[in-house]
Amino acid sequence: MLLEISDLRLVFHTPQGIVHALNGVNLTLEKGKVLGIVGETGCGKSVTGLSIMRLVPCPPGRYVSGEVLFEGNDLLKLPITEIRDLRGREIAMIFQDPMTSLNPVLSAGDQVAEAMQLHQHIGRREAIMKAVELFENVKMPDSQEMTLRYPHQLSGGMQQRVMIAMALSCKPKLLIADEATSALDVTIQAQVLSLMRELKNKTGLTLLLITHDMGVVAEMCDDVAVMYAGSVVESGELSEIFNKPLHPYTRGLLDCIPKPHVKEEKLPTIGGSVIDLINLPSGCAFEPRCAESQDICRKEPPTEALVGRSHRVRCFLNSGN
Amino acid sequence: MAMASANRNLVLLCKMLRNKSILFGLIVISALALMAVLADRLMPHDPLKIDLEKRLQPPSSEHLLGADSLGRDILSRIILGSRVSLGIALGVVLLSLTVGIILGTFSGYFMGSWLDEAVMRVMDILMVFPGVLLAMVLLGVTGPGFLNLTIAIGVASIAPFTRVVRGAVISVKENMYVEAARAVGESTQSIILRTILPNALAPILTYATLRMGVAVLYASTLSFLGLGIQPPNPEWGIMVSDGREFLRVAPHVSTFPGLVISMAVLGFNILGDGLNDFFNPRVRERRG
Repeated sequence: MLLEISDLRLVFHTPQGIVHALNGVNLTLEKGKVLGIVGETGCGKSVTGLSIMRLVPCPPGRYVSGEVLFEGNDLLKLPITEIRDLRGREIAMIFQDPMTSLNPVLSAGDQVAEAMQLHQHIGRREAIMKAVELFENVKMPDSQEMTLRYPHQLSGGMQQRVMIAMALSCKPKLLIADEATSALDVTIQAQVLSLMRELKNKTGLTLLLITHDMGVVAEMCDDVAVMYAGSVVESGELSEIFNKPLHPYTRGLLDCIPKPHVKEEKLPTIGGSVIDLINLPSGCAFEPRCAESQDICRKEPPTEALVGRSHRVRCFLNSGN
Repeated sequence: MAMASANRNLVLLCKMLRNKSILFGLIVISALALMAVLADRLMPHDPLKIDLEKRLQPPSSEHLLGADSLGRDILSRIILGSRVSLGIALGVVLLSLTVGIILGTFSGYFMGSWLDEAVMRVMDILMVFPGVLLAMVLLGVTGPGFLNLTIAIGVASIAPFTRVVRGAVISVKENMYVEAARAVGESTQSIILRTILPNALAPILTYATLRMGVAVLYASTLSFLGLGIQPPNPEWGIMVSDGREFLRVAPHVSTFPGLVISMAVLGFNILGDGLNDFFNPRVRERRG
């Protein structure tokens, strides 16, 4: 097991009150696999990714409980110098918007070279040469010339390739892609996704894909974790989740995918909006929006139950007990 | 590679010069700077030579801008005075910029911490006094002179500089690329020096230019009041002060140095305005 998150609870102290961002997240990720975390805005999927990198600002954030085991080490307990050494070298991250994630005053080559200079203790010249190689790996046309360009002189797809090259520069074991393709248009998105898959097969990289796009999940992932209001409501193998969704929220999400062969007047939606993370209900967090809610759902929060080989669900209705 | 980057810099310079404010400001400032550097060769007369026969003489072919109350050549004194004014302005900005960048960066990066609070409250106290007044008090303690004048005005300029740097740092540090740099494993020091400061430089440089103009004005003001440069050294403020008594009979004695002060301040201000427009893409687009 490369990554194991158990009972991760994170709160943010704000002037409006305590925001319960993560409420007992459990995730496991095997070496070489691709795990997709899906969920709508504010469900805690990005914060989970940031927690692995220890990039959540504390304060205002505070971890109440839980551990993030990476190769057996609890990342939440490591001193910051060791975390810094891990960042970029063992765990790398690709951010949502390549446009704003690249430093505007550094050329693309310098930016990619930076991580290598830092972790591999090589000189700038050598690092730039390696950057050209990396640019070829991520299929940049004119890679030599591209290293000299500044972020604003690159298109969105090219910028995201720079980000990927940067993330892969030190051959990390785990790559976290936080909405890495959401800001790109569909054709570029397809290109970037196929590039990521190719790189994964070539280097045996483990991928954590954070997205709200079920299509991307279906295309890329081995395992899926569906998050709602700061906890994983259902997780398991891709085929299990897509074919036998047990949690009403997962079903709702899958229903929202447009089906080309069915003619529909209106796309189905999940009613209501994400709950207020400051005043969590005493029962199931999804209960106010759930069509199948019962008395028990309002009274106590459901616990996670194993229903298949690796299929877990957090719901009273379908957990089999 | 060097060629390409040199080329890029040239393109950037050309773009900058297309902005009329920047062009005008640069011309004025360059002229003054040239005057200061080549003062020895440009001065037609000895600026300190007293010749009472030529007392208050109006502009003539021999003395292009006339002579002052002691018969000294005004043009020569203005030319030599540019060294003092620009020198002080440069010293002031270097001093306050250095201190301001150090304090402002720490304050901004650790926004909300006790360090930030402490620095900003001290700056608030300094800001209570108008700049000239603060410099006057400092000069009263240290006594007049070139170095003391520079330090006094410099100290009076630290507070606004710190605020500008702090603001710039705060606006830059929330950017995703700072988080991305952190995700690559960079240390705090490297993030500040390589990521935040270079991106915050535009407003800081703009403000530094504007402050040069303010420094020229402060230096002249304080010298006019007798607290700065001491006679017989030629300084624009002193020259205006000297001609004050003869304003009715010989207005040129005060007018010419006064005009030069205005030109210098105007040059720096317009250059700063132009840079502000240039570095602010929203304004740049609107003006085409």
